[in-house]
Amino acid sequence: MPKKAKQNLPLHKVIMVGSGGVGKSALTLQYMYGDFVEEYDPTKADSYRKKVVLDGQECQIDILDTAGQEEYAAIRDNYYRSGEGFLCVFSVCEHESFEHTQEFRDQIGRVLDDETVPFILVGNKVDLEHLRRVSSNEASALASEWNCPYVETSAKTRQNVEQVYTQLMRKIRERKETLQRAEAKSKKGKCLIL
Amino acid sequence: MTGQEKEKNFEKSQGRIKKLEMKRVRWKKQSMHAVSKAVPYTFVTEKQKRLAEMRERMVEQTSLMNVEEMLTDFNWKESGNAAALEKRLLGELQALEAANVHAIIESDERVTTVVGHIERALEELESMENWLLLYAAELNSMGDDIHQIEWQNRGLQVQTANQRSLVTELQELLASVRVSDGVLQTLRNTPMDNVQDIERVQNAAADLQRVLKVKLGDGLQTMKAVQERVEEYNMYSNTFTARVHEHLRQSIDSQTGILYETRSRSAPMTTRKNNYVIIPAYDSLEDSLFKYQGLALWMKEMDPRRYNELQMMYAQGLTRTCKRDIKEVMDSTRTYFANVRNRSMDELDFLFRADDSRPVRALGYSSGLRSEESRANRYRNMLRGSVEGVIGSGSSNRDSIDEDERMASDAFSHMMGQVVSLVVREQNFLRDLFQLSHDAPKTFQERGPVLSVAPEKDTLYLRRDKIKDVKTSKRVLDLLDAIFDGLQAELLGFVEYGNKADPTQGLSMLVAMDTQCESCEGSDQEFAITMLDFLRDRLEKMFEKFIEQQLRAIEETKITSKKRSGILPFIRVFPLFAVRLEAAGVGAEPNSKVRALINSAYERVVNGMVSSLDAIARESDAGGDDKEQLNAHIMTIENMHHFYHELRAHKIAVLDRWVKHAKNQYETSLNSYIKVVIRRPLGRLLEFFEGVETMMKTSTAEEVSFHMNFNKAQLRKVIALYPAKEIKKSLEQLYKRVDKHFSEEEGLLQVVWRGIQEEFIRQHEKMEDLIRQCYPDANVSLEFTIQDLLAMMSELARKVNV
Repeated sequence: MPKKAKQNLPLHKVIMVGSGGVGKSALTLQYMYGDFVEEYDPTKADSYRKKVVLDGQECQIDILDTAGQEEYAAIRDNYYRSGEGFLCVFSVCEHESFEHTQEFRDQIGRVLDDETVPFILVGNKVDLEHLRRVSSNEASALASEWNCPYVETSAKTRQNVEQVYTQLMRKIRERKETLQRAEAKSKKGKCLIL
Repeated sequence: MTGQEKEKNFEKSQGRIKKLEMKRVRWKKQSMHAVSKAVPYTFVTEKQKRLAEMRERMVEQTSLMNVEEMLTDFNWKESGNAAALEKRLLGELQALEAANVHAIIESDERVTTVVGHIERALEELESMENWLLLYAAELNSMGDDIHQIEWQNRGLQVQTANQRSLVTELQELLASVRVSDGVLQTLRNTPMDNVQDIERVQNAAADLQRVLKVKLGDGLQTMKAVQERVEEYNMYSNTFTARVHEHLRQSIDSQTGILYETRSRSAPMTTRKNNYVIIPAYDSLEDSLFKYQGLALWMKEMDPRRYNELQMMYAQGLTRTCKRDIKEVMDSTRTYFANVRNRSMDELDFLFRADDSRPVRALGYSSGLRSEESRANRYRNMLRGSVEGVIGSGSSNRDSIDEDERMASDAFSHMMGQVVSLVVREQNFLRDLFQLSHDAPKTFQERGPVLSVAPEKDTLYLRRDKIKDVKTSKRVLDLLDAIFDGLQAELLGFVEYGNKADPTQGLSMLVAMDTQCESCEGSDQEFAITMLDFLRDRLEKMFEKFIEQQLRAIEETKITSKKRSGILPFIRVFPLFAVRLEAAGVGAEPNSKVRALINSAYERVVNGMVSSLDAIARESDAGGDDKEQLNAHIMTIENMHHFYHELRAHKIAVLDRWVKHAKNQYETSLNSYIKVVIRRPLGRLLEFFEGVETMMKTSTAEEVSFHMNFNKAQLRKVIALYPAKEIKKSLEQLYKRVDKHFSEEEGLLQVVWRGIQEEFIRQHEKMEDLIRQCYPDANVSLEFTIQDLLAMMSELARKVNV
């Protein structure tokens, strides 16, 4: 009975990707619990779930927070496949982490074989303005190249944290609706043939 | 004889003495005169004087003429001795003179006459002296008389003075034991209804009391007159005391009656904000009785027994009104609890249950917590945050449950505030009215002014210092017991009623009690303190009992589902339980007893859950033939993951220790699970290389290949068992198995699978490494490379996530 009830509630699966130490866990924890953890404890993987109201509609968000450093990228394939939307995070204070986003983007595209999966490029740590190494323009340029939004966040000050997850969930929801409509159409078509 | 008469006599005698004195003086003078006349004296007239002078001159002339002749007679020559001559002359002169006198006397007849006269005068004088002697004797006797009279007179004076002071003394004495008729009249008849009259009566009573209290020294007290008077006045005093007693009795009776009537008729007063019922101050009663404060003091001093009766009467007179007003507050508070009571215990999702048939609630994590939010709000929001986790309908229901709880506990805390305030005020006023304190006037004479209204009524709600005098404090306690007769039992009833509806309400109640206790701590409010302590003690016991029930429920939890996985009911309930306790105990201070009670409840409940989880996990494995103990791991992983995240979300600081514990348990179990589960696809390979590893502990790498069980042939044999095709198949099977193990709800599949993939690669690396070390020249390797493995994983990913 409970299971049935739960299945009725839309579940949006978000995956956090990006280099090590850019603040994927910090963003997740800030979004989930509303607090900021200073100490750095490299993540392997953890899963979070929370009930939220998206545009007046109840739904659940499932966040898979993953390791930034992994010896074999292929390990990520499986959970990339399980994802419905991605937050690709880099630190605006570390240019290398910005450069690495390309790899993540490529892998996601390859694994999912789909360039249109909901994806947001996230420049984190903007509270450390004096240490900034990646300009907004540079990041925006890359985002527009990928045809995805670019959002600047601070897990410390909570700036844009709520917004970036909400934005991604909206994209996921829209995409699901589009797919459903397409499916319904094709089914209809099939029926006609039969 | 009167004083005046005495005085007259005295004056008369004085006069007499004076007259006598004067007579005596006259006599003396006369006699003196007589004496002076009698003395013989040469009587020379003027004529005689002149004749004598002429004669002298003639004699002189004759002498001068005869000197020369004389000198010749004496044979004196100029050259002769003068001194001898002078001596001879003087001798001559003396002889001449003696002859002269003799001649005069003998020749003159008048001398005889004079002598005769003198003799007569002497006779006269003698008779005169006799007279004087007589007078003197007479005077002496009179002097004695006067002396006696004077002595008598002095005695009389002393007597008079003594009598006079005796009179004054007696007058004073009589005045000191006397009160005016007006005073007695006032005491008997003046009404005692307004301030002026009471002031008059009190002054009159003070006069009377002063007389009764007069201390007369030296046995005067035993004087009959005094005794009679005191007795008379005592009678007046007793009559007056009786009158005061009756008047106070009636006033108290009628005023408490009026108060009760008024309160019964009036609509309940309520707070504007929450519509809570307020018990008003009994101003009119206080004002109308306070003017009798002085008369009460009279009673205290003059008739302590009836004074105590009056106090008790006052206390009992108030009882019904207090009871009524407290009931009004209680009834209104009860309505808030009615909502709590109206639902069944089953609806209270924060309670543990042995047989949990309630629909499982998926818990969401609360979001949007802001540090500036008050603690209370935060916990309430959390509850609501959890509410959002309820799937489907019923979330509004949940909302109302929280609201009901909150309203009930707020109302209760208001009720306790009202009750304790009433107790405090009544005690303070009682002490003021009957002057029950160590600094109150001790006697009626020291009474303060008569006041038309009770003074400083604002301060009546304040807590005062402890009463130092044990007897007084006992008396006050007795009176309070009388006023609030049965209050403790009623409150206990209420507390039990509230707890029956929801045992966690007991915590809120404890907090409310604590707040009130704190306000009374160290004060004279012994009645309130004792009552609150009693209720606190009972509440603590109830809470302990509740926790024990909860522990039993956790212990007795049975897994009804055949599928031995998923989140255990009590793990699901605990966050709600914790949030509910936090919300209930939200006002508790960090160091308070309530806080300690909550913390120890957590401790016991978490311990109970951990051991129950272990027991259930063990039990679930014991039943099956699965020796891998997988179920135990799976249950620990999922439950501890859930527990960790839930508590992390609720940020209950005291639970941090358990949060860490849960995280450790989760990680340890996850590792163990992965290690166990990986044996299905790689079992014999792993066993072989584990053997190699053990060998390497005692021998060198080169020696290993010479061991019978670990020679190259054996290595080849075991490697051949695991061709890539086989691995791929078993990897798929493993994925399906893991997928089945983990519930959708916790979403741990990806996390676990990621760990398994990592372990696969790690094991592969380890085995390849051992081959390189122990069999360097065998030219063998596993039949699948890491690249194969990664490709299989990627393919699997595509296959299972469509």
